[in-house]
Amino acid sequence: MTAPLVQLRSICKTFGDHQTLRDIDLTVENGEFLTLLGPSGCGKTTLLRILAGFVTPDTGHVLLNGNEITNLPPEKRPINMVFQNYALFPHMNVFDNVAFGLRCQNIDENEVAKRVEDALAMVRLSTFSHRKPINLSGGQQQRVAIARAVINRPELLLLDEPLSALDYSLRKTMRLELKHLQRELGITFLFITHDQEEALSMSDRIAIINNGQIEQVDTARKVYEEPKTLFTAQFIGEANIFNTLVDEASERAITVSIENKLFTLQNTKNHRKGDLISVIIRPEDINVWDQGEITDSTEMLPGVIEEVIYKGSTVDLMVQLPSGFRLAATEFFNEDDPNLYYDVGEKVWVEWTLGWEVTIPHE
Amino acid sequence: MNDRQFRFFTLSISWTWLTVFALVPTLMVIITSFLETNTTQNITAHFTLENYAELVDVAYLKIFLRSLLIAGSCTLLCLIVSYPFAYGISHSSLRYRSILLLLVIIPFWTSSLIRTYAIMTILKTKGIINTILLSLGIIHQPLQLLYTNIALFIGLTYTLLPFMLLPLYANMEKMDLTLIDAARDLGASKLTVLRKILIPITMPGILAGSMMVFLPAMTLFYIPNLLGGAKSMLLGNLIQEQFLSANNWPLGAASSVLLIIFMLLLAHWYWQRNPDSDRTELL
Repeated sequence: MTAPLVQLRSICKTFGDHQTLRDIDLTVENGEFLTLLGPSGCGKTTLLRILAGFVTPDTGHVLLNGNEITNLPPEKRPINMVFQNYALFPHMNVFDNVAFGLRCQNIDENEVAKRVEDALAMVRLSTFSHRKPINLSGGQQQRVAIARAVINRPELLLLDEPLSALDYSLRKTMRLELKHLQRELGITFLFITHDQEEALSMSDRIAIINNGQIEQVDTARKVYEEPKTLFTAQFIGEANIFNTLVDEASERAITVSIENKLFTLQNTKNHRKGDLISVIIRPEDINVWDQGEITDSTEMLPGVIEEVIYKGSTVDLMVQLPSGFRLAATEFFNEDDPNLYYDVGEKVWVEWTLGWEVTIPHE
Repeated sequence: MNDRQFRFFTLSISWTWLTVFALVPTLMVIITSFLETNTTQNITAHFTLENYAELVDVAYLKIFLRSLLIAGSCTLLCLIVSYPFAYGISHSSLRYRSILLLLVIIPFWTSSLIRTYAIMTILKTKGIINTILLSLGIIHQPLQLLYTNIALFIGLTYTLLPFMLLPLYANMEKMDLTLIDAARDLGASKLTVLRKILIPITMPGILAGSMMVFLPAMTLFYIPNLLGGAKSMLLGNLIQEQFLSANNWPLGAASSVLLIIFMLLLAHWYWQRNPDSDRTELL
């Protein structure tokens, strides 16, 4: 069995009296697109710099293809990086910037020219090779930075929030382009972002980092649909969270009271009677009914529409429940329900598809 | 005072200043260089090219080349010493940075003439260096340090170092440090980072500092006088002597004009090689 591309083992790093990384374990598989997602200051950039070799961890090991590289300097690692501000060399033109990595290895100039041209063609900048970086747009600079970083054919490409300096529509285009590029090159990408939308749309797997610790590593879908911690649930997408006690518990099911109504939910996490748990329900899993449409309201909650936000394909509602809890709901326009229309102050019944909620122990 | 009047007022102050203290004196020097010398009144208002003809002479050429060599080596020495120093300062933490810069600037608060006398007391036959070396038994005869080229170099480098250091520091402080990270990440050794990234990017600072050291090194006359002894005549001493001892103002003015032309040629050469550089960065 071959070793995974990168293994981080119990990495700790402290700057001054701030513990930036606490006991990080992470495996990066060969060829995958892994995203480190977390709020700013969570330690994800430090983790990236440890992988690049600019920072040495206080304790722990970095393994590449099973070999220890913890103390190997950056210039000796087959790992390249796309910097947040691109860090293009201002005194060199596009060609020389991209050629830099090859020239460091004293590769024959003919070979350099050929490979640089290929790399520039790949990022569609062939006609720009004599421009200085200052004469390029943000998106073009970004593509030069990528071409420069992949020219050495690294085993791992690190991308430090490379899209954050671009405007919204360019960012969306670049997401697709990066994803294509990754498939085309077959290089493992380790991408950093604090933008959950970016993470969800590009990644094979997402590692959620908070406060120097990894909260969860999973596919985009699992991270969204089966969050393991409250932080993950709140950080990725919107979530309605009810904290409640388990009234009854069997192996299969638990009974909890939400807004003074009893609900029977699946017991997926071995909750026991008396446990305090959080019930997480995504806004799009919630259905909102006019009072007139409903005859049986046993598994529904009463509420009053407080806010209606029209978003084109969806309507976002804020519904106030009797306890004062403000519930977010997203309703989709579809042909089955042409009368999707709500008034502020309207009394409604609210339900969710039982079984689609997620329960986790309260933290 | 409205905006327009204020603009006119401030601009006219700088224009007046530049006219009275820069343009007029320079024109006076240029005009003087084309006039005849006169032992009683210094100059006679009579056009001549005699002064320039007189400068085309082996003796003066030797002085010029010697000045060029000494100023050039002094500039190089300042650069070699300042470069790592400036890099160190610009990379130190903010707290130490201000202390280090202060240490560079403090000697400026004392007259450089006094500081040159201080160097004399260190270097002279019974000076600090000789006393220490003798008492340690490393030498048995005092070394001749004062009135040598070594003393001249020490004096010039010591006096002019800040003029190299400060432009370099200003340049390096602006530099984006992630560029160094990026170069290392792409596989550059420390030497490659220095050659391909640091030096090219700080070149404006290197050139600005070199200009600011080179010109005074050519013309500072009291340092060669005091430390180098009478035998080391440099361009600055030549100009000074023509004005103050030989009373040949036109010849002194002509030497000054040649020096100005030489410096302009250097600047022109730099601008030719770097067409996109900001022309103010050298000044």
